[in-house]
Amino acid sequence: MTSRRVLVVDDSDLMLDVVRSALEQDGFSVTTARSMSELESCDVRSYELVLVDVQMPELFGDDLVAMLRQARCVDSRIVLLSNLPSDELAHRAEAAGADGFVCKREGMDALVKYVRGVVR
Amino acid sequence: MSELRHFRPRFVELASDRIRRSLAAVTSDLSLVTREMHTLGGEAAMLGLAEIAIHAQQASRTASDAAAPAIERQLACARMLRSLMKLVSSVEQTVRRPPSRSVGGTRAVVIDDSELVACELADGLRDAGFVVSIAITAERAVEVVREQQPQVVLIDANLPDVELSTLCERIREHSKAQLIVVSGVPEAEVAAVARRVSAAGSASKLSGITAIVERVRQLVGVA
Repeated sequence: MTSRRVLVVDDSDLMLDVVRSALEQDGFSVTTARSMSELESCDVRSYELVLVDVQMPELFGDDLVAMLRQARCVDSRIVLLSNLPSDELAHRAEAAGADGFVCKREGMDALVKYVRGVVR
Repeated sequence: MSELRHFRPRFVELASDRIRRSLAAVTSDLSLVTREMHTLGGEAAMLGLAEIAIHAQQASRTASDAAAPAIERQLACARMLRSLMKLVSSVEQTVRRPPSRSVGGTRAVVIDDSELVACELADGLRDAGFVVSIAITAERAVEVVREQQPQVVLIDANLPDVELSTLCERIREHSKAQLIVVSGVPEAEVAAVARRVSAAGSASKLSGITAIVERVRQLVGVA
């Protein structure tokens, strides 16, 4: 089951609970972090997939991705999750070194489908 | 989408708070409006509340549009926030609606280009025991009807991408479902439209969700 562990980073409690509920129903083990201090307590490398919201009050998700990649040498799959337009999100994901992105506006079904596709 | 419905009461509460905070800050801190509406847009989108998501995102973009004069942004944002509050209130009404008698899993398809309206109708029908699918475009509607073979289809009279009569004909090519025309005009007007396309029934959105569901129940013979 460890290969199906997903970490979700978002400053919205509601969003974290909604994503956790949907992914857990699909059999994933989900950990959530709504702040940098909560993220600090997670062993990010131990997750198969890290979903990162872009617009958070403490720092932008793409900056967090760049930090995890460059300063922490995290090689887990990291994906941006945001309500931004897909072209902007694609640009941010590529620039930060993320493995991809999911638009919140595509809805929960699209997110679950995406996660199923990358976490086997 | 239905399994996420239990998050809606919490969404309504949080969304109302975000809108109230934004309204309070609209003349002093548009960056707060930008952030709150962006977050609200994401939350609504993930819960399948597309119309709220779109309006929230528009409000966020308007608040952050540095090219527009501040006074114009403030006025536009205030207007959008008030509209959003109405949309959120309409979701709240569906959250509070009590369940009614079951109709034993009768399949229904709701066709409406407003996802919010479609979701509200679908929620009301599900509360009454129907198994409901939603389509927000004519093309998708025909596919869903062909796949689901419903007993009843609710069709918005004013879909932007197709004439009502054309869509009714296309649905009848694939299904023997009873068609109910739904519209935001008075009962007599929507009834006249329904007769023109030989639909089995009609319902006015002005009568409210409960009355529309009751009309559907009567049509399928369980009221």
